[in-house]
Amino acid sequence: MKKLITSVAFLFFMATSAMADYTIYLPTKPGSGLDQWAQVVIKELKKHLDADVKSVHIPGARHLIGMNKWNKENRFKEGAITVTGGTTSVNTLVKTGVEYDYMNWDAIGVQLLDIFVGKRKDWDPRSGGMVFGNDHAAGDVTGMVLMYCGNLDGKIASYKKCVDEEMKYVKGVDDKQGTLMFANGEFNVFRGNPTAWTKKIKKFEHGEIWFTQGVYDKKKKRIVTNPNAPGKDFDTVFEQTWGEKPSGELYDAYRLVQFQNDSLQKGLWVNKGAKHRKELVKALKKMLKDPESRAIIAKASGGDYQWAIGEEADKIVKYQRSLYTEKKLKDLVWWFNNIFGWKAEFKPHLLK
Amino acid sequence: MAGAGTAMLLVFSFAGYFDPNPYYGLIFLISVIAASSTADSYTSLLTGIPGASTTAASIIDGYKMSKNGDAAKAIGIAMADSTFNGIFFGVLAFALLPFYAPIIYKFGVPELFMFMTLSIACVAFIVSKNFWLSCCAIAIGAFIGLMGIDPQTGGPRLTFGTLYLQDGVPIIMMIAGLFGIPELVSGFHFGKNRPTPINNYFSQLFDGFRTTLKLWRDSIRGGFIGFIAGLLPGVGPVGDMLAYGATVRAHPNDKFGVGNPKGLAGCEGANNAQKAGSLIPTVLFGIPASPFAAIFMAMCITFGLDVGNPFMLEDKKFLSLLGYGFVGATILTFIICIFTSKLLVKILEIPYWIYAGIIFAIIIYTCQSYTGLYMDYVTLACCSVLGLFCYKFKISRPAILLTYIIIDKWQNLGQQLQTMYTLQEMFVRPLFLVLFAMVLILVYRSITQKNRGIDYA
Repeated sequence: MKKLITSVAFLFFMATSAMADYTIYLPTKPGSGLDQWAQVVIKELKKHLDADVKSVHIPGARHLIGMNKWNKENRFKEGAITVTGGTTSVNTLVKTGVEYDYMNWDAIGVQLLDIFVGKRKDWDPRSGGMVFGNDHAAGDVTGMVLMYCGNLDGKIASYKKCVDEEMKYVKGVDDKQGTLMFANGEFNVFRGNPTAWTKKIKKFEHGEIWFTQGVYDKKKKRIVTNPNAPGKDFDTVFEQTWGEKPSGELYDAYRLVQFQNDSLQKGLWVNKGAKHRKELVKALKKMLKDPESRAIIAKASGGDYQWAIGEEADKIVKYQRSLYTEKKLKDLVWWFNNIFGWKAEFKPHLLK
Repeated sequence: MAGAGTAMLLVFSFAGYFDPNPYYGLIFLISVIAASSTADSYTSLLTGIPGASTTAASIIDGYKMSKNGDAAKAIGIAMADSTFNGIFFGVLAFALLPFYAPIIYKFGVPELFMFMTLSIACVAFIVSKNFWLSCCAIAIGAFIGLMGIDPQTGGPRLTFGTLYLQDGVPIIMMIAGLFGIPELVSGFHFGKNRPTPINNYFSQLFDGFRTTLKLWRDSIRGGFIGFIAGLLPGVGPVGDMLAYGATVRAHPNDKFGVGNPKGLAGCEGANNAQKAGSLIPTVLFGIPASPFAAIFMAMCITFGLDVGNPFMLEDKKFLSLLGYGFVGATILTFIICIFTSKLLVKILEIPYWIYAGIIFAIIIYTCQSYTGLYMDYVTLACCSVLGLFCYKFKISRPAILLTYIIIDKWQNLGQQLQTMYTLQEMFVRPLFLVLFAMVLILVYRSITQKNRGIDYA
């Protein structure tokens, strides 16, 4: 009996202590949208990597706990990888308690994604009464307000009046509840990433695309129309609706947060100078050239979206940083605090 | 595993699954869900520690039955009740899958708010008999439940400046601390408090089956409540408590919390029915109604199954495997449990320090797996101190747990309701009115019922 217990204990120890070649740290719970994307990508990546990848979930405080731990210790571990989402990225702009910084990491790759905004077919924005929510996606919600209100006088404060008087903004709505509210008609506008749009929101008979935020073109270095929804990008639809190009303080702030959210919506990273980056980038390139893997990723991502791989992605992070100005960041803080009730703060160190 | 639940089991078991065929993967997942829904009652009944948050109600009378020397009878009731409700509501869920969308669409913010109010009203039936101690339990549950990020402002609320608490107190710590540690400590302190070993296993077990048959009304009522709760996002985890409250209400002259088989039969099957119900919005709309359903969806997508849209109804193979898998695994688990339960009941014969040591190790392992930070231990310690305090001073722990689970959602829905609807708009919604009437009846009965409250703290 004693021998049996010893053997079982030894086997258990061996099994649990077997080291994976890579460990991916996810700042989210199993089953979240980010986790779903990451698991599919890891599964495909493994086919081209010939190594094991273990997942470790560290959820909490909208990615802050996991990412701060990544910053403090996990990124220095051998074979460490992390995955980030739009929330992780927008946190860095205005949220308090953020200790991590994309500039301290090297990218394996980021998928250049988009956000779809849908509306009910039977609702005409000109008739007024927009009912909407989803404040954890504050950047996307800002786009809805802009599209609804137009350029106004270009001052950010004027949009608060528009929100207060012309629409119902429902706080505390998450993706699950928001989907149900759009399905049962309580919301006449809702948003989703390409996966959520393709798999859920698009399937509702009463729904149609209002606009998409647009995708980042790494060659042109600007936001362009999404090939999966041609002619539906924000700027085009705005001009069709209002007869002028979008502009003003809120638009500038919106573009900053939108660009950062969508281009870094789904990405894989290692620590700065990590030796294993090279092998991972190579595997990612192989994965994206493999039609079978590419198709699987496209299905999980809601369309075949472009990737920025390795240094290409690092350049995007640097470029984004160069777009930061005190005015835009302060406007963003003012907007988030006054419309969504956040406790956002201006971070002067981002301008250094 | 104490406190781990189906969600964690799915994560663990996924690590060991390799077959590339997505349909085999589906069978694997659905079997894990069905089997764990039946088996997670064991720790509730034998150790007083809920195997999952959805089996917390089972300990109120089930664990007392074990302490009274009826452990195998309690297992018999739990097995029969779980199996019956698993089969019945599994068939109902998957055979009628195409017809559920209109029902789910009827639930807007007013209806969800009223459903959560119904849950809050049920707290009145699981508090202790002492009015002030009951208020204390509700206040504690509300205070802990409101910790985290305020959904209305996106800012931290009652977090004392710690980042860890921004995600709220993890439910696993609450279960382990409120129920697990106090039961272990009390076992050392009051040696006689532990369930006594049993000799007449099979006769007790079959007595449990017969009892369930006699209590079929309680059983099916619990299953129905669990099933409906499972359909609604965020409500699923309280299905068993709602069912327990309904059982207490249905038997105003009975004493509960003392090992009453009706209490166990009334809530045990809700867990299995809730699992079947939760899979409906997950499969059809990609709206996971419970944590396990979110993981199920993620794994299906990883396997290559495009779960989360109404077009899944066209995949007949998927539907049949989902239905047959759930029902088949439930039946198979029942058969396996008949023979293996005898071994599990032997846990009561192990010397207490070994038994307690194993359970304690499982609790620590499960809790530290949450984030791996030292705050996991601190939170577990705080919850344990709270659990011991409540145990000693007879403050209802089930009431704390139920309030903790629903208060945040209830408060958030209440504020959304104010933003979106006027009173006139609410009172022309038939489903809202039905639920409102149910709340009024429930509140009235909780005030007038002489025998309200339970003898379990």
